[in-house]
Amino acid sequence: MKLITTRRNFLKGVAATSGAAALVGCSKSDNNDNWGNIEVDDPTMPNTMEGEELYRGIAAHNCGGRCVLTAHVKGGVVKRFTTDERPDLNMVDGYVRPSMQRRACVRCRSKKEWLYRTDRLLYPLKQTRERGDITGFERITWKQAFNEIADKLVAIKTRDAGRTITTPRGPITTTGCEGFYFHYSTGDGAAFPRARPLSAKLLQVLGGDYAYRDDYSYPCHYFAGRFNVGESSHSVNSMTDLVNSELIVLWSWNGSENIQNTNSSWIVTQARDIGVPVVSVEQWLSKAAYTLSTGYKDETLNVNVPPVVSPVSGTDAALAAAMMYHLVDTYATSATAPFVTFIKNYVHGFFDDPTATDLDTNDHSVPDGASYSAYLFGSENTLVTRGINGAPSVYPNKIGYNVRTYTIDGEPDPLLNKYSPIYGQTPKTPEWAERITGVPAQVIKDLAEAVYRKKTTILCGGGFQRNTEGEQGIMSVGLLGFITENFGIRGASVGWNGNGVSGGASTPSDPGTKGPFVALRTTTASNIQAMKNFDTSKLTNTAMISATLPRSQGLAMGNDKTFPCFMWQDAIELGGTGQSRWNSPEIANGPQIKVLLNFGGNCVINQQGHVNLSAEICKDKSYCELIVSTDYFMNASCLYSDYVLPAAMAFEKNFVSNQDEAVLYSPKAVQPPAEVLSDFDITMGIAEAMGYDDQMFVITASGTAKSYYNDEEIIKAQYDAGFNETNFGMTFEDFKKAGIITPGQGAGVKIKYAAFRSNPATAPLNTPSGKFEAYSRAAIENYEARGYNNNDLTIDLVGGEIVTKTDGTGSANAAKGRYVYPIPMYIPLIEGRHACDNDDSVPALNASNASEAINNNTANGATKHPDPMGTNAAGYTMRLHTWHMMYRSHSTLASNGLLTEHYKVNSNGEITFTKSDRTASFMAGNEIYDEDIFEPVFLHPTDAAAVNLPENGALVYLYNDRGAIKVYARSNPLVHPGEIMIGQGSWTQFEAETTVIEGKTYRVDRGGNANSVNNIRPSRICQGMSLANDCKVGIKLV
Amino acid sequence: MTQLAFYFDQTRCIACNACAVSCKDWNGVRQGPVTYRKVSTEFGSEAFPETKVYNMSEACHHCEDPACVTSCGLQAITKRPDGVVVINRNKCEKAQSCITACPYGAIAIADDVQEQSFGEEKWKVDHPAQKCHMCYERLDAGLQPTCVAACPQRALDVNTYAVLVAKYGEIERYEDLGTKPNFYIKKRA
Repeated sequence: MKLITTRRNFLKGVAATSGAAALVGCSKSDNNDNWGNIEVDDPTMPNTMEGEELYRGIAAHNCGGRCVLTAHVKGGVVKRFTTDERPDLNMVDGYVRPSMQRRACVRCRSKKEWLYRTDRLLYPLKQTRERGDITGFERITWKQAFNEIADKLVAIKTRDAGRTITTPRGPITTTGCEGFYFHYSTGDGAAFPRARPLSAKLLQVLGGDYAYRDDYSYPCHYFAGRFNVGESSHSVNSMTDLVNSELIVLWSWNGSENIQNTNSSWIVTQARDIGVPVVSVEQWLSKAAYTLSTGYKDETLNVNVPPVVSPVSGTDAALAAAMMYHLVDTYATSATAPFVTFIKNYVHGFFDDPTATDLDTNDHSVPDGASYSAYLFGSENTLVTRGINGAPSVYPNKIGYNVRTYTIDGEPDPLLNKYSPIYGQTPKTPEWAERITGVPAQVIKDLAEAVYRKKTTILCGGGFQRNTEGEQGIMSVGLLGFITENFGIRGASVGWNGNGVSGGASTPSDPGTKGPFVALRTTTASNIQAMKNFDTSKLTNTAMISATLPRSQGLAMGNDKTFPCFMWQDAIELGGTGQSRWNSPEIANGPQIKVLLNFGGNCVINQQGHVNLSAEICKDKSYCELIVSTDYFMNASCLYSDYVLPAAMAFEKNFVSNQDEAVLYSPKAVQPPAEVLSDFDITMGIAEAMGYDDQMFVITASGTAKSYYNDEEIIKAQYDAGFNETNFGMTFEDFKKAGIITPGQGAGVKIKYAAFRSNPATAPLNTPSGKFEAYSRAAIENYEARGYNNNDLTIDLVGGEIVTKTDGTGSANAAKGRYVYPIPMYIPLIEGRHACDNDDSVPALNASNASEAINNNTANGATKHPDPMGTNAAGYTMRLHTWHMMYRSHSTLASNGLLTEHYKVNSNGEITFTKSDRTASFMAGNEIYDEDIFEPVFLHPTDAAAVNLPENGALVYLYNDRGAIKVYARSNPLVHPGEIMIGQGSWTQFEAETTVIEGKTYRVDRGGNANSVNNIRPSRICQGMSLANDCKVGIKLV
Repeated sequence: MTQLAFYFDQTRCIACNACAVSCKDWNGVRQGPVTYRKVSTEFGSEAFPETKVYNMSEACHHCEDPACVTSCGLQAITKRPDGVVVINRNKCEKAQSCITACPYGAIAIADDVQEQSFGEEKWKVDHPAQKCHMCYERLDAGLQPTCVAACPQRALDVNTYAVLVAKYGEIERYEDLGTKPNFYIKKRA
């Protein structure tokens, strides 16, 4: 190992100093044997903390963490921050019940710079020209802002509310204004008051709004959770239970960097240091992967798993399938083998089950050859011969795309009449998966054996579900955990660690899972679109969506909220027209968004894919008539807003938040600068201008309803009503001072699905069958109930059928292909790669058929990637992978100089930082181009060599049909060959002049926002966000 | 007389720079070239995905035989009873002999952009030399240095060598370039 220091010639050149200086130097203080008596009056030296008032609050980002941050205030100014300096009682020091400091990460340690940056928004601004024109913003008064926004809201409501819209399903009449939309946003990490719900409240007092479902983070987790396990997502035991595991698998989990809940990386580290082996399944060598992974070698089991198993991005479902194929082949030796019996007890539809009924005695059959294990074995007869399944796989070799058949702007959907392979007739052997994933077959077998034979926790991150086939990976990995008996006991679980059990509280005084602030987080007011477009006649089990059944929460998707937030542009452009860019009936039959409140977020332009298209849709004021943003800086979303309102940051306002077992209070420590107001006061200002402020926050105590107008009073009222001294052991005033309440060492460990594991009959899950569902009829019926036609009549099933309520046994369509199947499967990304793409011995596919080349006797049935979007022919040969980088979350710290100096570079590749004297007008105006600062991207050394990248890197263009970005490319051995890594969240800054790259004309985004080239096609089943890893680009040196 | 030393656990460090950023925040050092604590990364030569990563977080090593102390003709650099080496910036005349003397590059001077408080009345020059002083004011208050208290991975510590050895077992001194650095490391295999 080479230690990095700047080596200087030791003691060479001790400079002679002037006599005068030496004299001064001896003036005082050099007594005490030259040891000390330090003068501490230097203004740049910290000396003492004397005179500093400490405010303990929250590092409130929407990164997954809600850590502790303490402001040191002197003279009304935050002088510096510290984090949590309460006692740090850790597992690694022997505390079985730890009470860990909730240390903030580097992002929140930079917040002084954030508070006092010169480019903060300081005054309300109004766009007076076209949206997107930085020169059109004019300073206005708050009074004008409130009145104009209120007038527009009321006018649009008066015009549109109660009107009748004719949809293909019939006329819809609303009482509220269905064009009102509050946008998904994550810039404010508070629980209450939080920017996004505040904007919702504003619309709801006006009678209702058009509410979205899901988010940009974990849509496919939610989908898989609802239909496979009957709750909001797969989730692991308390993180502190990791020390009870015999193996930890980090699957697409980079909690060291994205901070997936406070301390999550630290807890994995402790488990490792206590002796639990760790293996990462990760598409690159992420911080978590390279730091925490030990690998797993076990001579008794005869397995040797390397520290990092790295499948090609987007092939996780193939890897998991091959692991399960190996286990089934090895251990499902007969219909009565313990492996089979266990699975049948707990997992519905892993094996064929043609006579099954659900808990409500409805038909819940898994036809012969339609189970997941049948898919695993393809045309192989093994499981039929063993008496386990009724038939080999009914699944065909290819799948189509449920896309629009009409053109938009004269263009058809590029996936129309295209297919990708799903290898329905191919055995999913480790050798097959090796061709696709690049993971050696022996490693696949060894990892499978280890996961099955050792108590394993599989921690799942979010990255592998952020693509157009994102549902498949998480469904497959969840299934892997269930069939390997990794649930319901200590040390063994599978799923996400962000679902409210990660902190480990289960004591009676557990403040995290009950209490007033949980209620404050949700907005309960009306969603005027609820149920209107949901066709319950498609469902076999309608009891499962009844609001009165606790089990209904599992299948609520699609009826409580009306459209997936990822499709909001579609709802602006085509809502209610009977058409949808992504062929979504929910959009085509839903309202058109006319008002967009974007409080505390940057998803209008920056954090949404296909930036150019988003900007084009937002620009036309005849579609969305009002866009209002609250923010701290003039980012790209503000640029396309009609009103930009300057919002207060943490420590300039009061709020509460809660995470896991902790409840936190964040106090107002300093005054916000200039005319900046909190989102709460901004919202109340608009409400007051409408004359509705008395209806915003009405709290009933002791039978008396009272209107509240002050955020801290609301927090106190909720505290006093729900918790108070009895539960928390402290008054509200003490809570404010403490800033945090936890059970300390009283926190226990939650074991997920423990009762179900003990007795599946008496403690069923909230799924129709009461079990984990490898085969979910409810999922495909839900797809149909949301209006989608699931029948692909161009494809025949193979010797069997798949049954739904609409397509019953023996019906013509039951034997036909589907766009969405009831089981997880491997479906290639639309802009993906296979490891074998350069292997001439593996057949290539034609995406207009995509099954002709599949031959189980050639290359183990594997094929090259189908490339249905034709990216290779267009010259977009590299995959761009967007990851949650250390220094931003999500885009809100993009200009912070204390952070940018750690990753941004100038055009020579040298360390640089965002200028400290920027002003707000610089942010999106032409002046920004003066700054020589670029976003870095990283390529594997072999790819860097292939594009002739100089040793120190170079400025490059990354481009495709959607746009082009100018970034600084560097070689980096941590990157998977064939990939380019880019951090999410850099701010879009388009160059004024156009540039021609490979014959195409672009306005290049020199801010280096990955979303300028990422696509916005939603995921196949739940229409989830697909920004992170479904994008191919060309690369060209500038 | 005690001698405090920094400890660094290379098996835990994720190179997140929380130490470096919180240090700048605490000490009022703005963005720019001067940084008391530096984080760096080296890669092994193994092929992906076996490539090993070696992170390092280092500041002033508060050496047993600090070359900076003897190099300064103004006696502006001194060693406290706890071994912490401190620059008195009010005495510094920016001769930069300490910068030349330090074999580890721990001392630096800011430019006009980074340090905008010019000619503070007690300074003799703009931008006198500066470096890590182990947050001695925090030590004196019974707290850990900012970087140690900041590390989300608990990869940093400060104590005497005897205590560090007792706590962490096999640790080794950072490469000695003649000044006996008080910096001990748990190395990554």
